[in-house]
Amino acid sequence: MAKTQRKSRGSAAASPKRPARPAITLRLDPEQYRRLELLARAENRSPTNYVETAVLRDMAAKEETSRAITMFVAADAAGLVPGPLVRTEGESDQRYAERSALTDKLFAIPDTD
Amino acid sequence: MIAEGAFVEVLVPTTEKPRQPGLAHICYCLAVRPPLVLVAYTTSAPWPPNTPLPLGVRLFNQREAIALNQRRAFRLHLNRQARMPLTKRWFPKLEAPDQGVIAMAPERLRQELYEMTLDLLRRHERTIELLGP
Repeated sequence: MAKTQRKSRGSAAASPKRPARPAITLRLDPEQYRRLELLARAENRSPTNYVETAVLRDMAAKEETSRAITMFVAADAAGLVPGPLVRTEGESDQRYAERSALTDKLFAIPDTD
Repeated sequence: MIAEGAFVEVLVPTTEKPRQPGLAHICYCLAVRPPLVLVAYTTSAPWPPNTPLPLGVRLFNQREAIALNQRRAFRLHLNRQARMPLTKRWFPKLEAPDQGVIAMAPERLRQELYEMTLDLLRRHERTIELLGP
């Protein structure tokens, strides 16, 4: 059974640019820890990074359920204007026009912060 | 080639690094509007328990996955989209003959995913209205 305990990191560890990141202690049974190590190694991660990533993914999944569309916009795409839609092979004129209108709206969705 | 319906390898941005190339993932191409591409994310990672699947998620079982040249069952998140330039920075196999495309969705599937995307957009616009002034 995992237990967590809040613990503050010392102020000396805090970067002047980033606010201090609270640390937690995670207690696992030896067998659970061994499995965690194996899972982390399979993704070339440390056990700590694996747990952090799993928590972030879980939080993102819960947030995702409250949004219709989550949009990531690449940093190097921000200033680029989309050109005409590339037609799918065999696509009718009507479908092409409808899909153009759809993508006009999708390409206008701003980056989700 | 990379076009609507392509399942293609992309260095898809992640929640942790949302605006930079991330891990190699197979994405579904929704549209190409040069110089930009719009893709939706796929994953075979388990969905957290007790969390309802959002609208716009299409499950592909093992049989469907194999038909699309993938080894494992996966989920397509049409609700999780990314747009990026059509460059090698994002599409690492862009210069290969297949451009990193591992499969093309058949017409019926393309249409199904297109209609799901339309529904999602309608819901997105309603949400914006509700949250608006």
